[in-house]
Amino acid sequence: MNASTKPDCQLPTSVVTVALIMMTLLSLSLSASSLAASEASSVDEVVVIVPSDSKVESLTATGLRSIFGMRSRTWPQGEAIKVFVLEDDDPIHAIFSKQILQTFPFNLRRIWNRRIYSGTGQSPQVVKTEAEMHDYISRTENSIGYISRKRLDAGVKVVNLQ
Amino acid sequence: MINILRLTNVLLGAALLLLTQQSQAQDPASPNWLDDVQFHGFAAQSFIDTDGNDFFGDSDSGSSEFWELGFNTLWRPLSRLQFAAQVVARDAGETDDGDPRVDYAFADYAFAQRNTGTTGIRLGRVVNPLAFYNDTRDVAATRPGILLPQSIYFDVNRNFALSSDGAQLYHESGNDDGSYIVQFGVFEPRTEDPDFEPAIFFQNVPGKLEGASSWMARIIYEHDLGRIRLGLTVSEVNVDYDPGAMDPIAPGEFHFRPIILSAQYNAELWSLTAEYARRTTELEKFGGPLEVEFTGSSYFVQGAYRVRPDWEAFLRYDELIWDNDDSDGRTFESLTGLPHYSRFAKDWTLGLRWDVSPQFMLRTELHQVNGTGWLSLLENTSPAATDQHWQLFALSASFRF
Repeated sequence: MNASTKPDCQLPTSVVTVALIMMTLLSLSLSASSLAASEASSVDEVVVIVPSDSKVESLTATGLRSIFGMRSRTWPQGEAIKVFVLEDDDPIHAIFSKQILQTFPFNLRRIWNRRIYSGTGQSPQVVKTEAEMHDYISRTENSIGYISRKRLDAGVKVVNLQ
Repeated sequence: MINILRLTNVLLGAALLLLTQQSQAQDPASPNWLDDVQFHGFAAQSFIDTDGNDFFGDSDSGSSEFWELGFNTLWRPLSRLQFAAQVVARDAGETDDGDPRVDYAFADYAFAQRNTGTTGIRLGRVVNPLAFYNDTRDVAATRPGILLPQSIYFDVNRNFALSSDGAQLYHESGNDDGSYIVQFGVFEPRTEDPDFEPAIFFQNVPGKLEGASSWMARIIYEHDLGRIRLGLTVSEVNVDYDPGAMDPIAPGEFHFRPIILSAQYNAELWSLTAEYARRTTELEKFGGPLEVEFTGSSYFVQGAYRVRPDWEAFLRYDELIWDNDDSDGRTFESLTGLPHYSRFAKDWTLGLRWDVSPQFMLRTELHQVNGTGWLSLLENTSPAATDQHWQLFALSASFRF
């Protein structure tokens, strides 16, 4: 009984020391980097888009979350849904995640990762730019994606969110 | 036979790699069969340094013997039918050998698809529905740290825990408030982990352990797209002992009955995760001193804080008790002469994660551990020579697509 005199659950001093060092390094690295990127386009309005000849006119919030959570696999007529997203660290993806889906990019990635690495589902197709997003949605049948309103152009239409 | 299997695995891995490269050139809008196929992969290299005990290699003098490499594919020829397979090569000191193996390969048929949910069956080598992190345990970016909380996700039994051969029924459903997934599988467990026999018998034995009929069930409820997640896993995993030549050990049975509760809260800047497991282990029909039944408890609590979207720091406390009736291991020590501190492990971990890009991640963490309850006996061959209080430092770089 005398092998350990301190309470088992007590936070060891070595861990506290390393915590302080890590926090110091972290704050240094953060202050050195610019915060401009995260502020980039928080005023952009993001809209959900489908090809202009799609039969889809409107979606409920639950329906949209189910599609981007990769839980709904098919449109009402049975065609496979093709989901397109921007990269996880894209500011437009952050606005879409927070304002439209009411969640966060890290949480969407967690949901997709669990499906794709356990063999239980597909992940959205990732595109690099809004121009690519517009291009793929306009050319891919049964697709869905999102874009900032100012980038809207021929070939796609906006889905009304209920 | 084993060599043929290994060769098949290597060929399958090479074929997947080839297909992956082709798919990158593929235009997603072009109408061909590859439209319905996805390929993903992951790779990680870690470095581990410990003072005293060994974990994943000769870590006492710094080990880089922990790496992971995997490829998977999912083909959906019909909206109701899909095929999934993943090949993984993994080295983890003495506890894994770096050989490629098929971690899962199954057919998935959704026999009921409605707006509100999907019900189906998976047949083949299927991922075990075990707690929050088992499903993707080899993908560094999906783990809560470089190392999984060892009290619940023992790495010495990695293959055994990950997947098994059998059938699994699932039902997935959701509404405005939340969604749930229910899975129920019947299977025979994989017993190919190098450390599996020593972990049960505390020594190398002449015979072999063979998987017997087992089952596992899990329900996960997710509120508000995973802001709140709750899980319950219940299982009975059975393994039979097949004695070797001149073997003094009888053909006994090993029963493992875990119940695991899981909970998580995800806010924008922080997440709180906790899991609790109660495990009953029973050795039956072995006779004499090997005839035992004991119940142990494990839990961990982890708080993570995202300073920025690409930086996360976490603090975790993880505790393993092998036998609740002998939580300090003193009775075990007086019966076996083995150290009392091998019957528990209390691990404080502090970690930092940097997502350099959506594909590339760097991590570091420090463990301060009291006890050797989840150490490998293959890596620490002399229990008396282990240290009760020890530290582990780890660095890891990982990539995924």
